[in-house]
Amino acid sequence: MRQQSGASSLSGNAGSTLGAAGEARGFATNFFQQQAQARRNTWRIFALFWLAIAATVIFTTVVIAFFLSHSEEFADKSQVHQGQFVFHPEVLLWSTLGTLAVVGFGYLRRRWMLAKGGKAVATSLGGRLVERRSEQSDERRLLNVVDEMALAARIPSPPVYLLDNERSINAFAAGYHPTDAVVGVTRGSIQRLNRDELQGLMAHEFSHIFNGDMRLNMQMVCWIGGLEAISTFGRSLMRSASNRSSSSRKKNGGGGVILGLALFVIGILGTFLASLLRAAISRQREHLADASALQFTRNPYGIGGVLWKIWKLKDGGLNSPYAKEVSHFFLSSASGAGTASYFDFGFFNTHPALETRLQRVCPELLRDGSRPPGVDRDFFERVESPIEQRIEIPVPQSAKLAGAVSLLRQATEQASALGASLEGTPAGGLGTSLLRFAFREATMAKSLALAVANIRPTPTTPTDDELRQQLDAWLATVDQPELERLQLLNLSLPALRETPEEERRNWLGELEQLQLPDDSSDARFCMLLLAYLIFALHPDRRTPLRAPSQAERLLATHQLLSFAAQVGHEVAAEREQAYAAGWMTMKRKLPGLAAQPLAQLHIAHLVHAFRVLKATPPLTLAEIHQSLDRVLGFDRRLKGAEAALVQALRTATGAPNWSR
Amino acid sequence: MMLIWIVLGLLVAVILYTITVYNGLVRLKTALANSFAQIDVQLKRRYDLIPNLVETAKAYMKHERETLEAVITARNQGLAAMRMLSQNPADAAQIGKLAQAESQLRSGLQSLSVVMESYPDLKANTTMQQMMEELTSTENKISFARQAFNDSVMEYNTARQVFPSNVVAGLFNFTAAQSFEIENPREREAVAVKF
Repeated sequence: MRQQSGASSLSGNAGSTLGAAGEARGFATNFFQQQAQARRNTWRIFALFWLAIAATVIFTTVVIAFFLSHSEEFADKSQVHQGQFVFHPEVLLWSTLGTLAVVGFGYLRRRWMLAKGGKAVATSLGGRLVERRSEQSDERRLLNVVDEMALAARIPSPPVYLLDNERSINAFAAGYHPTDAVVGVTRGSIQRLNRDELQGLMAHEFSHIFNGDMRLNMQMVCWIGGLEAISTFGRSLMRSASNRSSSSRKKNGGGGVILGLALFVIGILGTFLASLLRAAISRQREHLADASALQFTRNPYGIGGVLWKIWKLKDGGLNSPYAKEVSHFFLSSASGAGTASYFDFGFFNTHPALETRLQRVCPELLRDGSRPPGVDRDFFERVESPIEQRIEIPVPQSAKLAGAVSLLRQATEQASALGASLEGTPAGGLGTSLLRFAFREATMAKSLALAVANIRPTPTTPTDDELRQQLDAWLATVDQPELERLQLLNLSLPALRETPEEERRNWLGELEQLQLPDDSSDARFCMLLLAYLIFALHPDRRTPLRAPSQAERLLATHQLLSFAAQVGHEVAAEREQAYAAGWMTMKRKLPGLAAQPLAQLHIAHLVHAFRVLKATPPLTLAEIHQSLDRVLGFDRRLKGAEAALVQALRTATGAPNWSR
Repeated sequence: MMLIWIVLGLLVAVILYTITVYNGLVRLKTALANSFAQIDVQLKRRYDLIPNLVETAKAYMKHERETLEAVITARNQGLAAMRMLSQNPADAAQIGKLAQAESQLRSGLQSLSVVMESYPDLKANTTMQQMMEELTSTENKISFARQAFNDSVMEYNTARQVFPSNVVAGLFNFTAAQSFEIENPREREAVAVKF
């Protein structure tokens, strides 16, 4: 009904009553003609498709009829004489019934396989339903855009699924009825597309729903399944007939083989032809959807920008192994560029070439050097070079003290000489007697550790205050205060290790129970320092966990990535995205989990995560480190606290250090 | 005898055809009414949204009382006019008031988003960002609803003009629908919401 009303509107004065948006933007409004052309082409090819189906079915019937009319067995059982005319009614009846049974079986089998509703398709692709009341800014925007397009397309707003694990730009619509339809979007789309482009993307998918493309496609796929059944039947007939003839040496076996071969060839040819036509129709429907996207958005840079970005990034592929089966649902070919083979002339592509589509939608974008609005030079750098290389961490100045500290611990004259030699350097600013002393003596080292972690001990001694003042004064002069603090903590470890085990256990136990405010960035960093300290010193926590399970490892990774996302990013939405980006590189994932809020993360969790990672085999550990790097590098800046986190984790888990 | 059957058959065919066309036209007309209602819904939605937006902005904008008050006043006037209109849709005076309030609201929101540029804290505020997204979306929805209405009008008008449906349309008095045109070209501009 929709198609008819749409088609009939074309004959009218298409361009004259356009909406305000279209006129205001002032561009050629030939999308109604484009739609009409795509619809006309569809029906032409569809007629050919039916012709191919009918021809195959009739041909099969004739071949079976010919075989029956020459078969001894059939002649024995019926009143037909062997060699009688092929079109004897009884022969014709049985051969028609046989053909229909085979084709019908193939059709129904395929139909049964495809009978999934939109929701099932979306979930099997790894989609997560975006809840209507979602508060996340990018999901809110997505839902709003979907609602806007539903208004423009005049259909009810469908449920939206997000493919969290897909980084490419793509989307799909599934479901055979507008009431059952869903749309799915990859995370890459909502990250890389602006609002207008997201509208274009959704408008394209809505056109598939609106025009009933999924139903049309299912029809064709089922019929192709029917033809395939003919060739399958022929093949099994060939096999069984040749087995029979070789075993019983019956004269008639040869006929069965010939019939099987004939059916096999007919089935293959029919399937080939029908698949070719189906692909051609599918391409027409894509053009139709692109033209409808123009109608709904009245903005060529919407869908144009999407196509341009996929074209330039050469990246529409999906990770999900299931994606290939449903590739025709997607905006662009879901199996990506990797499918091109020597046999591929594009006849079987379900989608037209991106250049062809751009040519129709927004030809300006095909010109060299032209870009959709809002795309700067940075765009490619941002997407093309995700942070693959390891994060480099600058050497903190206090690291230079390490030599002096180890000597100081032996209290030799050399040490003071070395300390004096550092006096002029920036690290020497720290070289006051008090700080140096702190590295040597356990009680003082404790005070230093607390000062570094920005925790005020309950009975505060004057030395504590003095130490703290000196430390703060020095930290104010350095470039990377967070890294320096971590390094100071490292330097104080040897002295701290000298305290009796019981005392350490009590002291660190208290620290572990500490409730830190979860809203300040310094509290987050402080949490890391304490966890690091406990992991390094606590008699019961130092040892790696014995043989952690896969689940434990995933949980530890989840907690670490959550923590990392919150250390490095202030905006909630950015945190979620950074967290999700971290999981991208992992082979095994925790599906559908959001970053854990800091209020639920305790020091003990981090310590536990350290212990789990310490017991993790190197390859998996490298993977986790990489995904951590990705979380921290999500905003392409490495803040001091982030660098310190990487450093702490590398030291704690025995991954290569900066001093390598 | 044969002739009677032929005439009867033709009559039945004509009646069936008329019913189909009639139903098709009714369906298009209902879609039209629905599209129009959508515009209304979205306008109301915007009126509901604005007080929240202004409340959030107030906490940050100590010196922009005038801008905020102008927005709220225009919103209240618009809402009042809309309430009056829902009782008597043909009230020309209220339509005028609504149009005036709408244009004041637009300019108010525009200057608000300009003013917002000088309040980085406010721009960074998550609630404010969410609200601005909602406002952007509502503005879009209003224009898409208008566009959908105009597309519906086009489909309906075409369906009742082409032969032979126009005979049926004339018979049952399906009058031409008017598309939603805005007289004042400045009103076409959507509020530019910047971040």
